[in-house]
Amino acid sequence: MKSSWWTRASGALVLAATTAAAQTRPLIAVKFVLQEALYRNEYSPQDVLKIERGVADTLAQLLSRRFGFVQFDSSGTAPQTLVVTLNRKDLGSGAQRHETGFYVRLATAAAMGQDRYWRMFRPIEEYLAARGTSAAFMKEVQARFEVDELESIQDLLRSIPISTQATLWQDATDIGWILPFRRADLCMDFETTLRIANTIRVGVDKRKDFRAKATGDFSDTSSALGTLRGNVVGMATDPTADLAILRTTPANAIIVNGVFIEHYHRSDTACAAPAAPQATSFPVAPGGGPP
Amino acid sequence: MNRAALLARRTGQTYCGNRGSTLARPPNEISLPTAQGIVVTQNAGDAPTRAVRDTSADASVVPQALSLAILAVIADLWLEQHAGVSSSHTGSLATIITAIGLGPAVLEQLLKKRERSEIVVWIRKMLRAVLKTEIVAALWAIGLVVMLTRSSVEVVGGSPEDSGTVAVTPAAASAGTPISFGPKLEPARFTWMATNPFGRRYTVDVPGYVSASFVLFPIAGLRITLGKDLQPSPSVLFRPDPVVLSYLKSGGSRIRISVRHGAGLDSIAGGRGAQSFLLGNAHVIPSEMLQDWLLELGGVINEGSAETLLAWKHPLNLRIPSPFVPGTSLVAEVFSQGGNRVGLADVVLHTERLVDVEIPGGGERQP
Repeated sequence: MKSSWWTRASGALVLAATTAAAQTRPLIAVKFVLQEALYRNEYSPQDVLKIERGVADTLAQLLSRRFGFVQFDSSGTAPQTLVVTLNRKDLGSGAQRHETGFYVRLATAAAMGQDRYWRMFRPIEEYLAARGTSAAFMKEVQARFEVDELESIQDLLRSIPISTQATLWQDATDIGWILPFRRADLCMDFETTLRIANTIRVGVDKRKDFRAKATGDFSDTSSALGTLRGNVVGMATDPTADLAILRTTPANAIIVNGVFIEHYHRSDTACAAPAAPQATSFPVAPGGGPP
Repeated sequence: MNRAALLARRTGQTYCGNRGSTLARPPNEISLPTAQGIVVTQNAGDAPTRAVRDTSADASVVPQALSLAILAVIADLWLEQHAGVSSSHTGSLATIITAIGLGPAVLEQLLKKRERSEIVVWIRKMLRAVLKTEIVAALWAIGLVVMLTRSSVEVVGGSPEDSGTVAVTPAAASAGTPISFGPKLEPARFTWMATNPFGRRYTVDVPGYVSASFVLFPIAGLRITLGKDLQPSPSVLFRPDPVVLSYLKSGGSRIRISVRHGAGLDSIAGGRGAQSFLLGNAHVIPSEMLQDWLLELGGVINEGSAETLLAWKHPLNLRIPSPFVPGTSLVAEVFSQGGNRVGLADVVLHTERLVDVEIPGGGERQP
């Protein structure tokens, strides 16, 4: 039980491999590309640019609302860029009519990333329907993002570490990681699942990922990690046998490479009013839901 | 004294000279004409005693009559050729023949011998008056002048279905009053057109045909058959394909038609709207063309193809400055509301009356 685990937290052994200092969320640039020739040729280059910027702004706002663990910015540049492209679905087809839809990819300076089809914009029957003015078209595109179908985005964001720091913590029965964020920083519900990527130096470097679930705020004030009080703690959910290596390896041989969000559960309550650290219990935050 | 006077003395007749029987006639004498040109002279209370031959009857009018007849025949033929009227058409010749044939019989029944004789004399006098050489010559002169300075133009459709209007105007003059022609090959006839023995140039304008100028000569006139002597003016139907049509649905999009002159393009027409565009004469879209279009669209009538077919079937007729002539090179460009060229087609016109030209998408290439 969470509460029983956390009530023992004060007596736990801290095996901090990395001190998790407070840090900012990762920044991702958002870019929208109007790729489909039918739409691109409809408008002047200035209007196309206006549409692309307008939709990117909308996307950044929407994604920021949905995914609190990342900062989305449509105006600047960042090491990683979420590129949303509007294009025809069947790119290799020579047919006259096509379904059009959105593709998403995560691009870095080193790699363009692979487009994946996200969702439909217009069905094939409406391919040749009037596009309207650039303002009307932009609204139509923006309206398509109001529906919650963000699984593809979530998939892409799974590859983005929200931090390269986490503090390993364990006691006799449980193992967890203290994240360098408070719940309010990430607007995160305690149902969110995490992936902690580690390098374990046992003769040779061994990469090992562990699954964890954010279950509460760190509240131990008695140990050396008192400064992390109030930070989110993710408890390992892997089978005990898989976790054994963490117990048998010296703390300084376990290096956290990155903390990734597997399934994000947003909590508007946590975001609006950060919960005070609780020493004795870590109730599941109300609200939130699947992104 | 001449021979006639001597003869009169020998026979006891009074010689009255050869220019009228009233000369040198005693006051108590009257003269009566006879049917044989003999003037019978007598004293007032006497029975006829002397007859004088009217030598004026010796001057034959046959050449004049023959000449006048020839002139009449020529005039009749000329009128038939240039005015569409003829004595044979109007029945006047038949009336004259009938009158000549029946006239004597009627007169014989109605009139006394003497009255008949008087009428005959009167007719003869009239004929002699008319058949004077000077008059006949004047009539010939008038006829020749008319025939050499007036002519006609006749324009007839190329098929029984052809109908419309035609205007014939002297070269470099403003357009004249159009006259209708057809259907059923009914010609439009322009009569009493001024010309001269060396011909005069006229321009013939018929909607749907390429205007042309002809020399109108006298006598023969000008006979024009549409489609043969006057080439049909080609019409062009520019038909945007479904993708290009979709651009034309947006306000601000447009089509521009230009004539290619060498490397340059001169814009001659423009339009808006998601439909086809017709330049030239109004045409009903042939059903064969509609069937071809349906095949282009996959041969199936559905919501999309029906909308496209309707857009193609009801073209917008664009005004052009002058009818197209074979050899004209046209370029059609479709621009989206953003000003991008999204459709391009070009065509060189030949003699087809209606040319169907599809405007495919992808206007990136050079026109």
